[in-house]
Amino acid sequence: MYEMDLLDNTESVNKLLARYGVKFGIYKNNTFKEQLFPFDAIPRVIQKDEFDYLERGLKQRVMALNLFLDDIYHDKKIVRDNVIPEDFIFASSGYMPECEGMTPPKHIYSHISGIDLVKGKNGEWYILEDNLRVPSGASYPMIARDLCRRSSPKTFKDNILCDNRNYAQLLRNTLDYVNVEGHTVILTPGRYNAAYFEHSYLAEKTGSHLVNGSELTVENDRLYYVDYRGRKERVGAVYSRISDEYLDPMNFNPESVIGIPHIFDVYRKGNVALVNAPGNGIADDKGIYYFVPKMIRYYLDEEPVLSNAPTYLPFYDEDMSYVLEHFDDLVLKDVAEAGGYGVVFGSSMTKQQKDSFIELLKREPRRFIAQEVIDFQDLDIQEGKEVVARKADLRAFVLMADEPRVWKSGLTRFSRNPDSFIVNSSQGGGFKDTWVLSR
Amino acid sequence: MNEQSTRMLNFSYKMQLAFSDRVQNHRFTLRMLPQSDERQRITRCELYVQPDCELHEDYDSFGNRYAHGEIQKPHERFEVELSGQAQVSMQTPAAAGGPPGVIAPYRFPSQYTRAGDALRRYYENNKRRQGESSLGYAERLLHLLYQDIEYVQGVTDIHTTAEEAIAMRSGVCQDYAHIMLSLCRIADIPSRYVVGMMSGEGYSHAWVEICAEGAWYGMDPTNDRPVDDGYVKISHGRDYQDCIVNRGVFNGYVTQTQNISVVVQDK
Repeated sequence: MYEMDLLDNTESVNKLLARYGVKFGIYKNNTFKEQLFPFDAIPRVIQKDEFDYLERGLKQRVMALNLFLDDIYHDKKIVRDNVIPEDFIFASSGYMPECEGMTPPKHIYSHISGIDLVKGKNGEWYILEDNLRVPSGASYPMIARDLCRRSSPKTFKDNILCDNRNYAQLLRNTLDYVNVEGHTVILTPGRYNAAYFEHSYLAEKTGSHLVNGSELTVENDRLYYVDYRGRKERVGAVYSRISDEYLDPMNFNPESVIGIPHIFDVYRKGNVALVNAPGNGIADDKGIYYFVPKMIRYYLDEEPVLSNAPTYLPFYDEDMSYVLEHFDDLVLKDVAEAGGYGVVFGSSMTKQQKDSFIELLKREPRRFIAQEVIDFQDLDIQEGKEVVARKADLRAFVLMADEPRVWKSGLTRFSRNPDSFIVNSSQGGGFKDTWVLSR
Repeated sequence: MNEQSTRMLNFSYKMQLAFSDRVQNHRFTLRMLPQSDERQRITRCELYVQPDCELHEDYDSFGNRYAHGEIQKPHERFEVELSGQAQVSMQTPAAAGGPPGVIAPYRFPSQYTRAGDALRRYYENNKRRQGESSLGYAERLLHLLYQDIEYVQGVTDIHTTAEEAIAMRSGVCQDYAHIMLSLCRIADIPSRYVVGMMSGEGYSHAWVEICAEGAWYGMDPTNDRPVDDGYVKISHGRDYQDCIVNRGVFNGYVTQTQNISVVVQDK
């Protein structure tokens, strides 16, 4: 079935990935371990027409999410017009009152958006979630493509696909577009972070400095990079790979030792761009997800191109009774959790678990969303000499500068466990390259 | 502001930090610059910091005015002195205007005010009555808390939550304020934490403001009374954490002792 020369090279590509340190870190039982991110050489192929459609939907979605963030931290029209209930904004841990009234350079909040999609067996694409804080993963298909081209140049001569090695250029454009004045840096918590490989790879590919918090300092309401000789140079854009709450001990978590004291005050003055903007957590909150199609209609006056997975909010009485009636058909997600944690399938619970969960659901209805389990298309993966089918999703990347641009590739993650729908790398999944055909 | 019914107050707020050894690269944020509103007019306000350094001023997202700065060179003492004059009216509340974001964050639980079983039980026993106005209920809470909670120093600290304090039935002004905020928010009354100074000599003070009929009304549960012309407000936020007067980081392996002295008296 597969006669690509590339597939005979799976092993050599995986060896190269290991040699280049394409790993991610994981904490289990309080110890830090680095794991390889298993690569499967059979690409996910998306036809040109199909990707054009995705591109339109993704741009629309990210435009609406940016307008939403601007609105929420300023006028709050969407709340005043009763499109979104107040509770879902102000009681959410993603809403940061510290960002109230602040306007990031060029009004861009979500510079880099990672939108997770799945394709159903019916051929329809569904949005699973939006990641607007620190979406990671672009580096994996970037380097995998590079190594595949080296291992099997023939494959890329025979197939007409879009080059995905322009991600660095797209990212650089975005960073330059918002840069206030000075250097661009990528701020990493350090080598024990899960995505450290990505931080260093993107720094190299975009020609940015890779820095940790102690190499940046605030002086006279400006941000500076201090080099090894103690020389200071102005920084105009920070691609921060640190969670908002650790960014600045003077304004957020006072215990943070990886942040930069007073960087938030510099940002408030408009003297540096923070990428992505602090406070974005309110827009990728699982509770807010339900409202994104409404947002698209509200801000853009357009019908959403891409659909959400059918979602219910137990917060509404009507939805609560639906959820209780169809409990076994639904997947329930805790809005405060991420990374595949806090996700439970109604059908897999024991009677006792179900009872105590329903009790919790009734006590804290705002805390959960319920979704139909989408029967998504399996993708082929190689397992030894065999080809087997596994669940997979797609993280598409949208970069915002003067206009949104969708990267013609993406991170396809798959579950290695045949019975699991959860594809997160922190749960042991692997990844594939995503080919977008150019004609 | 009606000139006749106002009171002129001189205030001074001194804070000294003594370190057991020298520290350096000291960065600080002082959220302690009072502002004029419908209730108080700040006619003079000066802030001095020792060792001498440049101060930068701004407004945070809650609307508080603050100053921040850094002291690079090694030092063993850090001294701050705020002094000024305020013209304060007896009862005029501060206007509550602007977009809903100005009020909405004060309607929901925050880190220090999140209710647990003890607070929920207390609320059940002292519920807001059908048709009872926000102000009416808040005033009832003032008396209730004054009666039920004993003012004791040292049993709570800056990390104590409203839930922990109500379980002990004791605490200081910070705890009274957090408990009152938590109960008001359960009763659907937007309310915020206030840091300020009170006439007399002593320490800084904390109370609450509740939002009713388009205005913020000051209430002091520690002293069982509405805020009057003896109070100078410094800052407000969801709870203690948004109003920390001095936040700092520095390099040095030291212990520190803090000394605060506040004086507010008639001019």
